Parts: sequence; C-alpha cells; structure tokens
Amino acid sequence: MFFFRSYFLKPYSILIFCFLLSVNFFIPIQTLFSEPNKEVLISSNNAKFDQNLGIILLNENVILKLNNLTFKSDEMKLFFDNSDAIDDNFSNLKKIIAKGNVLFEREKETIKSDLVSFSPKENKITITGNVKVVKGKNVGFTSDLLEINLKNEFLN
Amino acid sequence: MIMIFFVSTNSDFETTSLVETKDFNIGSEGDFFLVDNAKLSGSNKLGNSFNIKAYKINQINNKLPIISGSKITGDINISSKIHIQIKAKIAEINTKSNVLKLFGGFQIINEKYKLIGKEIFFDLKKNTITSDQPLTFLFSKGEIQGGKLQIINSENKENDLLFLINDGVKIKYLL
Repeated sequence: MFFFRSYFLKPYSILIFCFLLSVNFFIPIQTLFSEPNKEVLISSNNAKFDQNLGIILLNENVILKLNNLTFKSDEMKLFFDNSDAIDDNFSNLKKIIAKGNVLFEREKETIKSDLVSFSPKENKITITGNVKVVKGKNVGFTSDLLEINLKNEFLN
Repeated sequence: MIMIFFVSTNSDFETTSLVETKDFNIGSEGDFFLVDNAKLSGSNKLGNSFNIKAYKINQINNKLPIISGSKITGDINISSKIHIQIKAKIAEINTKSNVLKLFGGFQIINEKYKLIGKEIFFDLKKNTITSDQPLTFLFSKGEIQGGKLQIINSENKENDLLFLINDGVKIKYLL
C-alpha cells in the first residue's frame, strides 16, 4: 500500500502508468503475444475473380498449402467477406471450398473426397462425398461426411 | 500561354487526345511534333475517359494515330463508376483504335489493390484491359501473381469487374 502511494506521488510515475494503460488499450496484450499470422499458398493454372462479390475461382491443378496441410482439387473457390468498406475486399477470407477429385494430405494421412470446405476462422474442415481416409499403408475407412476440428484435432 | 489542340481520327471519340501544353515544337517539314510537360485527356460515349500527364509526348514514325508519352501519371475511368490511377514509364495512345498501352513498368492503383507489371493495354472501345506479360496484384493481406490477365465488365452487374488470370496463378494470403 505504502509502495503504491509513494509510487504514484511521483509525477513521472503517473505519466508512465498512463502510457502503459493507453498502450494496453490500443494494442491489447493478447495480440502482442499471439501466434504470428499463418500464410496460405495457393497455385493453379487459371483463376477468375469478381471484385464486387469477393469470390476467387481457381481452375485446373489447384494446390493449397497451409502449414502441414495440402489440398489438391480440380476447382477451388475462395470467399471473402463481402464488405462495402474501402480496403476490405480481400482482408477477410471467410471460406475455401475445394471441389472435384479433392485430395487432402496431412502428414501420414490422406483423405480423398468430392468436396472439402475449410473455414479459417473456425479452423474447421468439412469433407463430404465419397470420403476415403487412408492412414499409413493399409489402415483406412470410408464415410459420407467427415469433420476435422484443427484447433482440438477432433474427428467426427 | 497554354496551348490546347485535338488529335483525333475517330468520330466515336468525341474529344480524343486533347493535348494541353506550354511548349509545342513542330518539325521543319510540318510532319513531326514534340510536346514537353503535356496533359492528355479523352472521353467517349461509353463513359470511358482518361486524363494523363506526360513528361514528354511525341508521334511514332511521324504518323498521327499513335502518340507516345514518357513518365506517365494519370487517371482512367472504365465505365462511369470504376476509377483507377495509373503510373508508367511509357504510354502509347492509338487514337484510331482507342487503345492505350502502358509499358516499361506500370502501376495501376485502385482503393482495393495495386497492380504492377511490364505491359498492359486499355481498349477503351471494347471496355477491356489485357496483359500478356506476368503481373502481380498487391493487397493488404497478400498478393496474386498471374501469367496473363484480362479484365472485363461483368454481364450481371454494370459496375463490376471480372479478372481472368491465365498461364499460372499463385496466391499468397496471410490469414
């Protein structure tokens, strides 16, 4: 108590305290210590994007890489938040949908399917249509629907 | 004194290549011109227009339809509501075909992205923008690299642009 009282009696200490308070207000501590941003790399033969709708459609030999995940497909759509704000067209990737001969590879796991939907915000992957999971050389199973939560590594 | 004159070979382009300058030189035989610190502007019935400042402009091969300019900055309106800013080392304006070519390194700046490349064509008659050279879109969270580009007006919406990228696409995006 005495320490606090004597500390705040000094004018420069009050200034430092106010500065630290304002720094924490404008730059939350959480962001200072959070993970660095993840980079998605996508390549394809062709692409078409609609500026107003905020949709990029990629065709032929589409490959997406994110950390240890690789998606390969015939077609891929990137959906951005359709915001009217200036500079906001490509600032918020909402969803990625891969369609046609989709191959999802992760370490020793390979999943084939017709369609994969990936939501970067929720860190969730939904795999549908003729899902075939192969782990290692001989272990595997088939399903119609598979959900992977990348945050908690849940398989549903 | 500021001099203003028109360079036009096509009736569709009502005020094509209006040139404003303080310095105008005509060759001794009258078939050559060179303009320093010029402003070029043009507009057509479709609502397309351009307004370009050039350090120097001159004819190419002493023929009037093609005017060349160096150190280019300016604005282009593609349709009435789509507005872009341009920067380029060299520009060529063909007043007959209404094609503006930027080359030797260009930048197109929009409020949403910046497009950089080596060469690009604005066909103000057909309302298209094309490039056969590799180019890069830069935006706040990443970039898109493409081999060839064609920008056309969307059939669904009047003021919507469709970007068609061919010959290889690479996207880098920061989540």
